[in-house]
Amino acid sequence: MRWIAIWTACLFAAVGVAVGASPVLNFGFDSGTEALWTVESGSWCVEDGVLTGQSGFLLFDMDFPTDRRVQVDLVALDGESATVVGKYADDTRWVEACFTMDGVALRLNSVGREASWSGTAALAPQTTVVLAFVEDQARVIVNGEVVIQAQDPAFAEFGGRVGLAVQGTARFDNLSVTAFTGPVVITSLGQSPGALMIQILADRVGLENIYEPVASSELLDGSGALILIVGASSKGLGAAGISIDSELARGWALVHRARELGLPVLVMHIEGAARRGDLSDQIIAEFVPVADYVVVKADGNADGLFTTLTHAHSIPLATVAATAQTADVLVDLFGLWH
Amino acid sequence: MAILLLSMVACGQSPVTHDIRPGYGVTGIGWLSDFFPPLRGAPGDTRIYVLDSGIAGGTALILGGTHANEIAGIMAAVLLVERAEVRRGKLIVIPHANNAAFGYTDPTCPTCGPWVSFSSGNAARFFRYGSRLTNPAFQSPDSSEYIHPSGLSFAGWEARNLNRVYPGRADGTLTEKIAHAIVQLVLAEEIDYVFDLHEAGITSRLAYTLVCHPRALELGAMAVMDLELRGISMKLEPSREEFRGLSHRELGDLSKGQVFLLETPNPGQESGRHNPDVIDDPQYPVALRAGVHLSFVQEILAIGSRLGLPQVEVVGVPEFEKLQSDGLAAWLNW
Repeated sequence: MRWIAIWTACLFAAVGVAVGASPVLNFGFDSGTEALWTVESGSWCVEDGVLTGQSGFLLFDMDFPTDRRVQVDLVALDGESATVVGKYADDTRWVEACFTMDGVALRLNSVGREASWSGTAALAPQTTVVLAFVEDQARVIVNGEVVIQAQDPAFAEFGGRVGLAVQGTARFDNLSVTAFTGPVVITSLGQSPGALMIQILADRVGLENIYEPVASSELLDGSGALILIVGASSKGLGAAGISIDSELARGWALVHRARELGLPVLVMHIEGAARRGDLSDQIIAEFVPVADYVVVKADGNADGLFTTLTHAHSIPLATVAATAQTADVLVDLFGLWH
Repeated sequence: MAILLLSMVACGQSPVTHDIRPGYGVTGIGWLSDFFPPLRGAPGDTRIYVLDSGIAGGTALILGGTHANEIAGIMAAVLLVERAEVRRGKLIVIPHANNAAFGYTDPTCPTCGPWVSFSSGNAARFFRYGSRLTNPAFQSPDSSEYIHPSGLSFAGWEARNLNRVYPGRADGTLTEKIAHAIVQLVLAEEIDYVFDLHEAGITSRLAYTLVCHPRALELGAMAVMDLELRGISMKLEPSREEFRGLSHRELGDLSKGQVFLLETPNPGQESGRHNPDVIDDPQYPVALRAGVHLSFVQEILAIGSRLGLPQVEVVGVPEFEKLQSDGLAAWLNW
């Protein structure tokens, strides 16, 4: 099973957060900034939170590891083609998925050796396209359906930047790049069984993970992300022989180490209203504001606590109606094949 | 001696009987005392129903009526006896686990019992609604404290609470003997799954809770998440080390089984409610509560099979939605 991490260092600046702050996972083009990409050709601009390209090629200014997943919403295509450049090492080594109204072609150029694969895809307004690489395999996914699956040794040989290209005019939104470099560490803050639930869901969707309810910060070395499951009961902590103060201290040690390692920190409260209360709220109040992404089960946010905290700190918040739906969030965030 | 025995019978010192109409799936009927003969003839002896597929697999034990006022668990167990058929493995059902608590009315809800009824056309069936604790006529007086075999101290009246006295004592009180007999059954039958079906007050933090022995926590977590997607929500709680005396802790520790305790909300156990309707409460009808119990039993057994645990396949039990639309009476045998 592959190792997974989120590689987002360049992306947070694109949504208006200062460079060096916590990473975010999606590039929504909402700020209109153009500081993080290089226009190689053509005309590119952001209007109303949507990136519009005209007959040109644009590259984002960051290298990603070999295994990665690039996802973007193709909002509209008015022209011949729109292309997602999944890997661009240099002019002689690249992989792209080219979308036309007739279908999609996956093209590989590896130092003069060319290969291509084709598939059918119906491009409707607001089509979500994914180009993903794991080792020597690549997939093109359109609106959740795999339309091309290819294998070539060259897929594993180079990484590089990602980009977009257009012949005619095309509009893009919600670009996200996920790179696979290590397992996620899943731990509890409050010793509720919610962490076990997330571990089960991670296993179900094939997300490599290390599950340790009382994880220490050393466990983060070599990992790809930290997931804190917040939710406490005095009985749970008491049974584990853990005081709330020591649990909070362990949480902060984890967060600080994650920051040192550049790992994203996800905070999840997925056991609903039953897992709210003074102890839980104390943990929530401390750790939601330092999260890069927050997931909450709807009835656990009936009083709007998570909405308030995440809004105040400009943190993305995903709300699920049922705990099991957190699996979909994991897939979205960690870019699994599914 | 003969006079003494006669007087005990006259005072009800023998097992209470119940109107249970076994269905085609029942392959054997016995007594709990089959696993602990000193219980024979005592008010704590109770019927056990065996549904054996004859095909190799696991064995599941259903305990209804650990607390005789927690009627949804009792009725879920009754439905299994009357409707279930087992395609693989074996199911053992004890609808009235503490039969010594059925002969008198729950003092916390005098209007709830001593009987509840279900009707179909001109016919009616009656089921006993008892008390949380063993009838003091069979075990009294209460001491000021109850010392559990582990050394843990409870209030004295908890000595009559079956779910505080596990693993029981062979030479102990009546309630401890019942617990001891259930432990002997679990060990003798090499039980793979135990479901102890309970209820709590509707505002109790325990209402809608699945408590799992640590060995069973992963299985329980899967069931909670999967059933929530079908609109059946339960909280998940692990059985803590300090929960000595409770079924989910002691039976789990003593056996290799996956042990669960389920709690649904019973209006009759809510303090301050006047004349609660424990069967047809508009928000918490017994069909809903029994349906939750049955859904979790079915779901956990199904997940266990998928995970490679011993297989117990049960059919014939109404789906959750079907039980709500038909009502519980429609699924009893008439």
